[in-house]
Amino acid sequence: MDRSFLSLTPVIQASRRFVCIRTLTYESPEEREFQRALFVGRSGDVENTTFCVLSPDGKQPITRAGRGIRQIFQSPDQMAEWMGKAADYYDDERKKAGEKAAAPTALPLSDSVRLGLNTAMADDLPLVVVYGATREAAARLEQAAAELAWKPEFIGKFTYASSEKAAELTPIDPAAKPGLLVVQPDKFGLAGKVLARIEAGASTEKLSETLRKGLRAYRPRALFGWEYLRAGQSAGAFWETRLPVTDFQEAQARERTRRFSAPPNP
Amino acid sequence: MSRLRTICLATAAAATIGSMGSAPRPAAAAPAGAQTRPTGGIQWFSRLKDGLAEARKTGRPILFLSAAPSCGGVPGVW
Repeated sequence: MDRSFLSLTPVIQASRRFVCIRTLTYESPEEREFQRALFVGRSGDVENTTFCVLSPDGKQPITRAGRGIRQIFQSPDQMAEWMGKAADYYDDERKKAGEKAAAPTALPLSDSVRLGLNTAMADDLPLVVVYGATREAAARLEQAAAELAWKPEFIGKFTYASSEKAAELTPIDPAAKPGLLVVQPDKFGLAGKVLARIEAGASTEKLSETLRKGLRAYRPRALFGWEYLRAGQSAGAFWETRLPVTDFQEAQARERTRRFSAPPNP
Repeated sequence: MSRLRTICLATAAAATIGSMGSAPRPAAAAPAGAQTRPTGGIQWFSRLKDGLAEARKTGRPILFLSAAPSCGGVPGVW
């Protein structure tokens, strides 16, 4: 987990006045094009990471774009101070236009349960899965969960995913019943187990209590850095990206892991 | 993030070498509920279209990051 800037309190506090978007590199053609328009590396294509601050319409970069935050800001405190001034500027713009202040309300969903599990593991957070019997049922439960997701008690404490497809729940519980599930990702974020569950249609208070129960039961990751990667390689845990990996260093590292993890020739 | 990426790639290479012929050391179990940040971290939108829609609706600037949740192919790590 990134502890250098994005995990520090001043930056987290400053982020509450922003809309924070973290796309997953190599997982969506549309998002790749957005990333590519902001920054490409020496290879001429996207690298593993891209960072930038943008205007509210998403069209105007208001910082340089780069591979990392350290290329843009000198320290977390300087970043937080700059973010505060940028947020003030857009607050003033809204006031001049006669618009009232507004905060995010949509549930910040991963694109799939599979991606949600991996993201939750990388962030060391529980995953909330909204599982509806139908798309309409899932949408209703998403709305109920969204009312809680941005509350001070829960903001930044979960990753979210939603599905109406039982097959997506297979790595968590092949017999899962529709409802809201709080999930512990497994050792490498490829599967999970249910920590707490409540049926669809439950009251806001019962949904809140389910989230609290999940947080209490959640076990933070035990391995970091070298130990984690070594354990992952030994276990043959490998992440297949949807799109080709164009970061040269990462592509090389993946090939090394793939060779090491591959079964020996007969 | 780029410095972390370098560290990640270096440790991935080292882990590949270090893993050959030896099993990982068992980890001590972390206690349940031991959240590292009681106030919560940054709340990210994972889907670009959702985040852009919220930014337009709220008029808030956008903190944008793209990152791969794997290192050397091992999932579950930035």
